[in-house]
Amino acid sequence: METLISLCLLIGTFFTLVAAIGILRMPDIYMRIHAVTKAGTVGIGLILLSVALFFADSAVTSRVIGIMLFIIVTTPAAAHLLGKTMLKSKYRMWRNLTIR
Amino acid sequence: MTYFILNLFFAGAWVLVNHAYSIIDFSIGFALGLGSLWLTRPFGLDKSYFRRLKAAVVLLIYFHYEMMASVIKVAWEVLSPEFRSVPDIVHVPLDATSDMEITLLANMVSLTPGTLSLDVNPEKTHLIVHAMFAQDHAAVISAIKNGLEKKLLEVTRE
Repeated sequence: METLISLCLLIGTFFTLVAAIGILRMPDIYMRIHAVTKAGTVGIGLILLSVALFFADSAVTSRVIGIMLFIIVTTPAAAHLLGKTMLKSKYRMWRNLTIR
Repeated sequence: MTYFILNLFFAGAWVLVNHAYSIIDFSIGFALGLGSLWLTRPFGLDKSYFRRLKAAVVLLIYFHYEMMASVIKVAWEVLSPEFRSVPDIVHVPLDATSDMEITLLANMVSLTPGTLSLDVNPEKTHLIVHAMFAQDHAAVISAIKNGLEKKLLEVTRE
């Protein structure tokens, strides 16, 4: 059990770190949104999962489920709004010219 | 929908009668309620309920699988030294018609493989998607249409 909890925690922090690096490294805003929405959601989800497993208590678990629901609903909405504004303002996106 | 509320009511009744308020008891009550509703099929008012419940479970598992796959792809893209992705904006034609279906689909698209929903065109016929790996637009469109959208419509449609 201990191993499972630490594994969840480690993978969760790893993906959160990936999201943070993604913000700095990605070439344009759309790619940054990609990195943050996906890696961020899964990272936070895994950290919360390890919290729920560690306490194994219904009071904690119900709150964890609540937080997860809110994150899953709000993250795509925020990403969608950001993307929509950038699309409306005719943002020039980054294209990979080395491959094409 | 009526059957779903009935099923929740059965689960709530089970919890109250047994005076055991935990998520496990609620699940047992839900399963028993589902079983008793299954017995009433000959009088069926809402025959699609069982199929739709099954489709909802399939969608949930598929969605989580896709989300993990996409996270690994994106993480690789962030960490690998050169950028391999070919980002582009793709217009995906929609079969989903109601606002709720489109909202659900857009949110799921945002969280799954390399795609991010940006907008819906005013006629609600196309979803505008930013795809990270869009060498082939048709492949991106068919992945969304045959994967998420098909499974979602099985849940929301009668």
